[in-house]
Amino acid sequence: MKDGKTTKMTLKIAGMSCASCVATIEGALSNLNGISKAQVNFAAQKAQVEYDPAETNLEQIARAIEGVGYEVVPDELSLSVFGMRSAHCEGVVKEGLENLAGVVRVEPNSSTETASVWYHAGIVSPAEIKETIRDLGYDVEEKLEGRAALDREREARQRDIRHQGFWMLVSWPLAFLIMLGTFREYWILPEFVPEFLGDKFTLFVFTTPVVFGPGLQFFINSWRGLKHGVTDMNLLYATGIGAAYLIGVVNTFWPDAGFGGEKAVFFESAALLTAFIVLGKWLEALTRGRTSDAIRRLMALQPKIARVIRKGKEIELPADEVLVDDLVIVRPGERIPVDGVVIEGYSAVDESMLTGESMPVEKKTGDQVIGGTMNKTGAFRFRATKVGRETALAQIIHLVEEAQASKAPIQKLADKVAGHFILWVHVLALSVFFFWFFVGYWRFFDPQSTFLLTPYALGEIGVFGFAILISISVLVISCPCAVGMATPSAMMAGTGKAAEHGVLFKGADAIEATSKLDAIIFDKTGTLTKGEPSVTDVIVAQGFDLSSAEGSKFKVQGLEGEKAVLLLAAVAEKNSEHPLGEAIVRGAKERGLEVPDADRFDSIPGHGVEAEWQGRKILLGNRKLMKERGVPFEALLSQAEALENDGKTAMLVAAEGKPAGIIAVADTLKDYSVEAVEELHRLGLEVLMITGDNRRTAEAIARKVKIDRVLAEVLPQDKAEKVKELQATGKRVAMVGDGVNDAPALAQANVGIAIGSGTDVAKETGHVILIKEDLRDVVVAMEVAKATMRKVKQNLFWAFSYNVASIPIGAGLLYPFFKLVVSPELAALLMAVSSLSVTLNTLLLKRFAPTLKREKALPGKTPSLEPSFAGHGSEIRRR
Amino acid sequence: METRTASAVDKNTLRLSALCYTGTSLTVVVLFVALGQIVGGYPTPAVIGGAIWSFILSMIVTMPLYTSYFRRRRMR
Repeated sequence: MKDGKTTKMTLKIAGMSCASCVATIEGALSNLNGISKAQVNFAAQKAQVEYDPAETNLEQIARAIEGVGYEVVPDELSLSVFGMRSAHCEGVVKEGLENLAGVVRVEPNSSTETASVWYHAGIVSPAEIKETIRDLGYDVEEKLEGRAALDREREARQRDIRHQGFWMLVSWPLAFLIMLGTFREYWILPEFVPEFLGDKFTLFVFTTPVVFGPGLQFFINSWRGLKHGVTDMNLLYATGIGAAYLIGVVNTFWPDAGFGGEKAVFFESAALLTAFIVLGKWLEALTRGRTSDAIRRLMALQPKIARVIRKGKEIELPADEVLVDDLVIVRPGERIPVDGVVIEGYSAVDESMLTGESMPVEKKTGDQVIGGTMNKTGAFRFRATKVGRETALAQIIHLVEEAQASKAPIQKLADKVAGHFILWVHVLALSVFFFWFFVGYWRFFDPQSTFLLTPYALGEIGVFGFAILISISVLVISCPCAVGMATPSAMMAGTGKAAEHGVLFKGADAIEATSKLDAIIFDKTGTLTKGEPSVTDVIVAQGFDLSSAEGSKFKVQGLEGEKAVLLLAAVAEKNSEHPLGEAIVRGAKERGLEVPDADRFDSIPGHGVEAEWQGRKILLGNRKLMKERGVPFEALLSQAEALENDGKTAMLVAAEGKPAGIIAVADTLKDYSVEAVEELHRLGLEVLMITGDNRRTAEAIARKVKIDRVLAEVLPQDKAEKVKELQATGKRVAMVGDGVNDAPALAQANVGIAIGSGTDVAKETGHVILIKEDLRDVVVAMEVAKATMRKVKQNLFWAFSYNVASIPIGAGLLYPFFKLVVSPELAALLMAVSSLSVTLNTLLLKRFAPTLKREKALPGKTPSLEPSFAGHGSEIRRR
Repeated sequence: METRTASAVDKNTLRLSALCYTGTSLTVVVLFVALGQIVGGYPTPAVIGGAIWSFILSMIVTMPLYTSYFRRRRMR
């Protein structure tokens, strides 16, 4: 609002905790020159300010509020900006919007054709922001989520393909006829091409619809940009096409005007230039969607329909209307609509599309199911726990979208170059024109030479025609489209490829950092190991079995030595709450033993337990306990020590005062830990392990996994410090750990890799999130990152090489030596080819498969679901 | 209204920048014509055509430079 000279605006304020904050902010504002009224509303957390724009502005007002400890919070608007497909377009949108009063920050992203705009609603409205973008020559809509966004984006792309396809149909046949007409006097063409086609008026009639049909979009878009003080690639095309056409028109209707005469009409330049640029646009629209196939596939996983029981009846409703706690029915072959917990039924579910795990996962009562995954065999019911934006699939899509919208450091150089390029190209075109007009033409010109792809003997076109055509070629050949799309297209393909394997990069910077690592630190517990102790060894004392005097006193039928020892230990520990005791009971049950209750149970703190079962005594504990109770364990001590040297906890079992055996319990390695570390060594990384455990236990684990270096006895709060120390030696370090417990160390590392987040990806702290608890995915992350960065570098190399080589050639550098100069139409073809080559090179990334995933199909590498004595680090050794 | 105030200020800015970029472009044109006279031997249409082309390119180069410069200055 404006009253006389003053203007009124409303600002959102954050940080107000009490009513006194109102006075503080009002005081700060009233001290500012030009403020006539400042009213702060604590309940609404808003400030209404009346000010004189001639004396102060939003920035000063915000600074005054921030100076007293509060924050002016802008609103955020997420937009889909259709047609913003290059770094330069990003610059156009950014600059156009930032010139708008009330817009605080703009983050455009050409790879996703989106822009986030932070603005003050009291000053500028979303409608004005969208209008400004439309004025800049782009279609704009508020960004939609999920499937709706997918549908809308696909629709827009299809429209663009149809639109440019139609202009291709218009421009190419006409351009072909114009070319035939222009070349009519050459080769064998006079025999086939009718004479009227070579007439300059016919050429004018054919060229005009090309320039004002397919070519009109470039004139309109460049004018819209210029109105807002920004230049874009359309301007390069428009000046090139416009100049060629205008000279053609002048030389057709006023051949004596002195612009090269009636032979130098350049209509084929204008027509072919338009046709090639439209071809480039069409190819770009066609291939643009391919680099983001992964996100498209993820979005397509979202089922549309859910079968839900409400009021006792089974009804079908849209999946996004399922509520938390709804009972959902899933039949074989159906996709699971939302996340939940199985409450009835049994099935196998294919989760490969989300986790990359190729084997179907069995689901029974109590198991979690993930929305978007495919139910294979049985029917089941589950209770919905997460719906809408909270589902794992929605979170994954959001993360991948965010990563694709982010920028890698390497992209900054490319953006800087592409962003300022257009202006410099025009400066260059002007300089080139001056040079050839005043110097080059007189010193090097040979009337017999011709432009590549044109029939003119250059002698006919004169000094102006010669200089302007070279100037136009520079404008067209210099288009930095390829430089602008080199990095984002590869990043999109890379993040998508990683997501296919259950690896989520939180940003393009994470990909770049991951590709440059020197060392990787694994947290031990829960990362390299399973994080819960389990029985690894059972050793039976010589002479102890159920047929012996001691053993036969227990009425346990049919049990052999180690099972009997395990059963005795489990009976003694059944009521124990100690993690080692729980591991023994769990170990016994996993091996099919039924564990009865002990008749009596006593815990002996720091030593072990004593129990009585079937009237007989069982002792389970350490050496000290056995010594105190006079159990002769000397014969087994060497084996107990060997187990301890392996990082295991050895517990002695005695029955009726005689040694029965040893049970070793340890935290066991996760599946594939060894394989993953081996692969990381192959990739040239130093592999470290960090743990709070004592050095002996830590080194025992490290030996098994072939870890290079162990950082033992490190308290959880000191892990980040250890990462820092390693970084101080100049190494770029990744930390692999639990995303919640190891958060400080993950944040300190150059790359924090949070492993096994399952479905709760949003909670994680890491830069890279692995959905599964499969350590091989760390290798997948490294390989995908390296492959992506390889692709980025190749793209940038080709794009920069093209521009570095083509601009001097376009500017006529070869002419003094070889009498060769590039025609505008050839320049347009080269420009289209450079963009196409970058896109096609990026698409090759779709064929990339990580080493371990290629090998995964080998037999014997799939973990068994059934626990056994021999499986997964558990082993029974018999004496 | 705030937007009206903003557009009034915008108009002043645009006017000032238009003056500058047109002036600079015309200077380039004068330079071009003067050089043409110094070197000599150019047909008049070539000089006119060159002057127009130089003006167009100069406008394209200077228009965004001046516009964003004055807008930034206004924001400060």
